[in-house]
Amino acid sequence: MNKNRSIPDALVIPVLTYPDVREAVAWLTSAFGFAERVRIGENHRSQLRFGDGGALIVADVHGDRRPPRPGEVTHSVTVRVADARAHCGQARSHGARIVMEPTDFEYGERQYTAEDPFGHRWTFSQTLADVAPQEWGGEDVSG
Amino acid sequence: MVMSTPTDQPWGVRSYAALDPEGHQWEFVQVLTAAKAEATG
Repeated sequence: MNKNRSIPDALVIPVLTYPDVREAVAWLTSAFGFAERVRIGENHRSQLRFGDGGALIVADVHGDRRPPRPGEVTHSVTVRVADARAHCGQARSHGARIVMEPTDFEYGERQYTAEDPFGHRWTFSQTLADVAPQEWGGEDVSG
Repeated sequence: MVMSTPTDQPWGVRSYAALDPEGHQWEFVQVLTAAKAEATG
């Protein structure tokens, strides 16, 4: 895979629409721990990174791109973190709405779910143990 | 449904956009040229 400094290295990059890109970037960096890497225009787009491999593009409202509507969840983004409880505390202190408190699941993850002030849904997941999918009813179909 | 056909962009990628049957929009991107290693950041 070629490298291009104009695009994040991650192979899958969510693009989320926010009504105010600068406001969203400020919030996502302080509350969730993203870091801005490339800014495109004053309020058009911004590329964010998360840790070593995570990436996100914050996009403005344009054409048919719309921010989330209240009462609907069409997608969510799952982000792996080292400490879900600490991350949740940080997010809450910045005004995130905690939809699900940090919860330990049988598949080896401690997860919490939050909604950012602009309506996007996020799940943050801390790995507690390496668990085979067959142990909790999943099916490994990777071959 | 393909929304835009593969197009070379000035920032060094070839990309196209498509809608899946459920309405989610996807953009697929091919990086066309490798950046110089010393200039990566």
